[in-house]
Amino acid sequence: MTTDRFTSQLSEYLDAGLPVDERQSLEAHLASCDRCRETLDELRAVVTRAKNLQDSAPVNDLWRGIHARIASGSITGRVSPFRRAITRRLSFTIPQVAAAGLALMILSGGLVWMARSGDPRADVPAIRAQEEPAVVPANFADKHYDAAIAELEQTLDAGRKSLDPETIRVLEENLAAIDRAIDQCRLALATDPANVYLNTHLADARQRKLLLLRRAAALATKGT
Amino acid sequence: MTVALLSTLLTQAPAPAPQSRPPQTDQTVPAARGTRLVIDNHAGEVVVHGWEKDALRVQVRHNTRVKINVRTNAGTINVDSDSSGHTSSIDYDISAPSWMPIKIEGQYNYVGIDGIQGDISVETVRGDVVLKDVGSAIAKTIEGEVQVDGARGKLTLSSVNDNIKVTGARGELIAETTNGDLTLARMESSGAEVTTVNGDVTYEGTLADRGHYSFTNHNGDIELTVQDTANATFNVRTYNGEFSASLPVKGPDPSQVRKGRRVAYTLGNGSAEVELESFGGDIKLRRAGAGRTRRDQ
Repeated sequence: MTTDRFTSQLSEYLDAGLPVDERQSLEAHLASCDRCRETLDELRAVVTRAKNLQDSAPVNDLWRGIHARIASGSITGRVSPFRRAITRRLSFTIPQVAAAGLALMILSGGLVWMARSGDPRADVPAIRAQEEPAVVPANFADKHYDAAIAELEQTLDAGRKSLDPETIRVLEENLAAIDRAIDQCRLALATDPANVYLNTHLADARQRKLLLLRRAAALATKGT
Repeated sequence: MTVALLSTLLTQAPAPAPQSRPPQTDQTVPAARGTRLVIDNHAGEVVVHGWEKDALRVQVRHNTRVKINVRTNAGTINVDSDSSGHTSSIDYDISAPSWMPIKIEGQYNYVGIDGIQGDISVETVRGDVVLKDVGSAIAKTIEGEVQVDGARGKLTLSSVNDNIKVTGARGELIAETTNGDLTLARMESSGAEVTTVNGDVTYEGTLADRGHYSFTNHNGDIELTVQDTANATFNVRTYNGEFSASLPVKGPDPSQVRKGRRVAYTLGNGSAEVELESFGGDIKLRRAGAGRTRRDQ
């Protein structure tokens, strides 16, 4: 729910249209949310591409033909009540363009898939093992993530005295368990870097560590 | 505050025997419809029973130097204590209207709630949370088990270092722990998102058509037991484990489930979407009522 709220603000953020408090709140969220940062980067890329588009002259000049037909009287004047609507300028926001593009991709992909395999729900054919789509290996050197982790660890450390040592021990053990899971993932990725499952699993584990640290830091802060 | 000392005292103190001595505080206040209850207890036991009266009865066993406050203010009844600097265990036994929303917060609490249909929110650091015959609930603990037996609404359950057990839940379920098992039985949930790092995940129950279910872990097995009349698409991934199914699913040979490769199997018309993912554990689909093989055990 929170991520959705932030996602809807990204376009305004790019246009520098957010109030200061909302901008600061969003920037704090971006520091720890991979998904929102990726969406923001995608929006930036769309904007950059749009800015680089150049006006080009039409390949064929149609005016001569139109003028000739009018002059010959083959076209009579006609008032159309919809003319204004038709000639209205159409404009779309960046999220609308992005959403339309995404919808087109899903639609065309779905049509291709259905054309190739038919509707699986209709006669329940045996499903083949799916080929994984191309994947960009996870970025292990994410400075935003590392900064967020470091900050939370500092907060936890500062509030250590306010927590029961047993609770600290349990939290540290569980953080270590998540770290082991992350290490195992990375080890596996070293030999299989394009594996979709490993990349998503690693991202999930990192997110889980962040959430547990946040909870621990909140406890420590509450206790001081 | 000497948390460590308190923790030691709590650990070493004998378990309270609530029925052996009368409560030091016994207070009943009217509760108009829509009123919510907020309980703040640092350490001890909070037990709430639902009843059919529009009134709240608060019975408390506590140190004589502790004063219990029951205050009604703007649609909320707040229950807390004034201990004048003394930290001691306080045990609440509360009877509340079954419709009443309840929020309980504290550090070292055992929390038990029975027969409350209003929204429940419980947060503790050390201690179990046990809910029975409830509506919707959020329950969070770090060092403690979460148990739910009978729930009609949405459940959001979280532990860090212990197990989560749910039986007879009908609503949506979100359950997460880091180091513990997730055991879900007699489930009729419309959807579920269940995850642990180190622990087994077991689900036994129905899968709703068009429902979405996700069961994931890092180490530990995942076992799903459903009727063979269910309609579901199982998306299976395990990196180091194996996949087996005693359900009549349609799909490729189980040997194709390897190294995190996503393989789909269908049962019936495949309506429900079920994600099953484990890094190091086996994934098993079992038919309800079928006996366990030696390998399953």
